[in-house]
Amino acid sequence: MANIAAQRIKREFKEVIKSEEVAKCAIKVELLNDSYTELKGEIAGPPDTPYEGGNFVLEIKVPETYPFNPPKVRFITKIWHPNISSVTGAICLDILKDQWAAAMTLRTVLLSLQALLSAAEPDDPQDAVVARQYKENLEMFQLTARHWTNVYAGGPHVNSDCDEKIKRLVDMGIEDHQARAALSSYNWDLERATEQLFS
Amino acid sequence: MASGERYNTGGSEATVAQESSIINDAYSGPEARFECPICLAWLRDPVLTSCGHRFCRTCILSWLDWAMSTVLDFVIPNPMFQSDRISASDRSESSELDPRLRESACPVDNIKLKEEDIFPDNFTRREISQQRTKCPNIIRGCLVELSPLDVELHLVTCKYKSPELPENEKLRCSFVDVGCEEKFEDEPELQRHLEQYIQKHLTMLSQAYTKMMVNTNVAASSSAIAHQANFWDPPAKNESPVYSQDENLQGLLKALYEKIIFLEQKSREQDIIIANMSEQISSYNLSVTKLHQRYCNGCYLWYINDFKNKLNAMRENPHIMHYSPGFYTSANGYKLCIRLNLSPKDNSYIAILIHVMKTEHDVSLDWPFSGRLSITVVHPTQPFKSIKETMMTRPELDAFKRPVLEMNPKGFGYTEFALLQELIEQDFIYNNQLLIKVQAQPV
Repeated sequence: MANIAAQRIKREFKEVIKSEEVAKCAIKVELLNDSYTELKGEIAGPPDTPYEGGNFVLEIKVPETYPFNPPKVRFITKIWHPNISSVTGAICLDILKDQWAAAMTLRTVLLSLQALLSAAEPDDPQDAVVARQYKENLEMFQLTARHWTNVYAGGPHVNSDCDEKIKRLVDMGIEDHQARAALSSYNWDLERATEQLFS
Repeated sequence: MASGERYNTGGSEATVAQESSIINDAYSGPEARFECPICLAWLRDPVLTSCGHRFCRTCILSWLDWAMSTVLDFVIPNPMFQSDRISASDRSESSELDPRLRESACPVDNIKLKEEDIFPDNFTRREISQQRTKCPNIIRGCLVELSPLDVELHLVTCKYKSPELPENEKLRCSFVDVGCEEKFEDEPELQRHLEQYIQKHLTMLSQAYTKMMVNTNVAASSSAIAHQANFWDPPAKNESPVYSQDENLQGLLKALYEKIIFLEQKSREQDIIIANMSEQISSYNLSVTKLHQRYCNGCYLWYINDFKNKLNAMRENPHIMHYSPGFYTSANGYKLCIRLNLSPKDNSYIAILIHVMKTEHDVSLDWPFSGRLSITVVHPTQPFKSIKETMMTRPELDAFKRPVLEMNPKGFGYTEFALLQELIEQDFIYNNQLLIKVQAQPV
């Protein structure tokens, strides 16, 4: 890795560690190797969103050309969000792509991601299914996102109705996450989800 | 650099600036106004953009070149990095977007920016050049003061630089016992960590405490048997606050206890083996004596041990008689034994008589037994003093007939063989032992 990228990440590290957000437990960065190329980020779900109370883990890969190229970031924690793939965790965010600027840092990236959780952009989706639900049935979307936050990110809101439906599918031999994904995609319509799973 | 910034949270700037003037080292970061937003280091060859932002000259040029994708190589600004060149091939691999679609813009506010919008900022350059910073190794004794731009170069050659600490010499978080794995190069870093992670450490402590409670409970119940046997006193539940040590101790005690059990078991087994072996040995001894008696060829040595006690007993009770073990005149010959007692007529004399004993092969022998018998009371040191008497058997006597009982009740010999007094005075008794030798030869 180019020395400049490592040097910069080192400096940024101190910046993140000193920042107020860390004190508030809103963002966190950890090194995964000594060469500063792989990091683990963590952001708290913003308040007054379906993600509140959840803790979302991110994979951060720093390219050799950093900071001239953006870091590669994806969600490790599964999340239901129009701009984040519910399958791979890939993120659709302009600053991680063409709007990247060399003056941005890991801290600003994490804060931007947190902002993305509060303000989705369904017109520029990464996950079309989630985006459609968001636009057509916002309440259903919020219920689903809250349930996912509960199951995968340790959020506080348990939805027994969702759990019940998933259990029915699991009893039929469907894997837990697969059942959840299918039900989420079909607005928790058990029949349609079953149909899709067994067709 | 204030107004146009999109991502700078203004408030912390002042504190950062204060900090850097106290610590004043290149690694804690320059004041925000002297920092290049691209390399986050001291501005080197500072330039000002038309939108009002400062960068290192090489940093911003690299960024513009990068964005325009017109230059093949760029040089990384700080002299530290001069060997690192990033080639265009790296770029095409790592860049997912098509750079041609992108206009070059200021990395801070994203306002369109071209090379001609950049001007040397000589004011800032002068300011920076007037800055003096102490070498970060001042704590180890380096007193050099130099321009912040030169600090990194100096650090490479600074003879006070700390050797990269090996993993095992790094400072460990003081909460390592409850599971905090963090390691630090120096004390301030550790302090910072301790301040920041109070919450985390508290959680770890409470977890460790719960675990400790569980452990002591488990230990208490599992060693119940040991308590009964009183092998050790149970540690009091609130005795040791550091549960890992407590656990170690428990483990040690347990291991020792197991070992003791094992050793006890083993020593018991050994005892049994030893008992069996000594039994075996004594049975061998017995058969060896028997062999001696059988193969003595009619010449038998009778060592009478503990003679004085026996003598006293005989004096008190004249009916006590001592018999030697039976011996054979030859392997398949007659079996005889010697009798010793005090003479019934005059108990100052000892009587020595020979008795014939029964054997399984009496049928094959000629009866009555006839032959020569000689009895010697052997002097232990002076052979010439030994008293020897020889006699021939007399076939008419009952004593030589084939025995009906185990031993012929009638014996043959001398009822007044020797004066006791004489035996004692002549030192026949040596080591409280008297030796009588009998030679029997059938004729």
